[in-house]
Amino acid sequence: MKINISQLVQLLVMVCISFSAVSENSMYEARIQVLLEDLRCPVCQNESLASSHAPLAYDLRKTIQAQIEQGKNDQQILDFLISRYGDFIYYQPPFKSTTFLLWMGPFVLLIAGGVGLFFYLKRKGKT
Amino acid sequence: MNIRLLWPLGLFLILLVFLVIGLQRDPREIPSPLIGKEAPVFQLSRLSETSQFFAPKDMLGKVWLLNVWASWCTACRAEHSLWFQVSKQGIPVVGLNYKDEQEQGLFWLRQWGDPYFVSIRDPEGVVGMEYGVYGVPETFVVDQLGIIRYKHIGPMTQAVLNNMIFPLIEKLKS
Repeated sequence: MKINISQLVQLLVMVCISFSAVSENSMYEARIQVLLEDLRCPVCQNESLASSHAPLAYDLRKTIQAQIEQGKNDQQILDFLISRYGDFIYYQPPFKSTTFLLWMGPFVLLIAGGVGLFFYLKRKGKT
Repeated sequence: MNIRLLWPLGLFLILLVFLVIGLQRDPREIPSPLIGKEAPVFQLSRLSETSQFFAPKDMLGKVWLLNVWASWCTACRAEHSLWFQVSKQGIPVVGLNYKDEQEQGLFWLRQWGDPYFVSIRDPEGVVGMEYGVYGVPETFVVDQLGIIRYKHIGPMTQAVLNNMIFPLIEKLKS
């Protein structure tokens, strides 16, 4: 069997195309997976969108996938979801007046504990 | 008695206050970011006449309710009779048949009665997603300018109608 150059080139091009399609798909997959892990399912609230079996989670996964295929970036997809389901859907709450205690509380406690410890040790050292 | 011994008790009481507040909140109620914003635009066909369409702008100038329901939703059955009461007061209730079969939706309305000003169908839940619907039934109050004023998640109750919905509609109308 004789294979001429043009046939060989054709074959090579086809192989390359199929490989690039696969890698692009798996790149999408990985991106979707990372994004979904950070999103909370509004129905089963202790599950992420990645793991939830709720019908809504299925719909949202489909929508997110479609948006990624449309070329939207992660921030655009997050904005889409937050404008509909609120900050609740995102496992990383934003820093606002209502979440001040959430973000700052641990530091306040740390400082209070540090100050308490300082005075305790100082007094203990004296006696 | 040594005052320092009261410290753990004080801390415990503070913790208790937080726990009591926490227990009284319903974690299933996610505050909607849509309140105070314009009701998302859509156009959907009617449940009975699929050649006729409905859009929120058809309701401009009226205070109306958007009730999201489905025939597979048992809680919707519980609130259903209340919509007759609301309709009788001259408040239009638009029924959004969410992720349902047309036949089943129509059958449900024949069986339990049709209190709706108009019924529309959203078989894929596309409009539901625009409105951030995550658990049927859900009910939105939309004002004359097409702004969402309130969202109730879960089955409507007489108490919520009397204490929240009716006073709000009165206020919006005046």
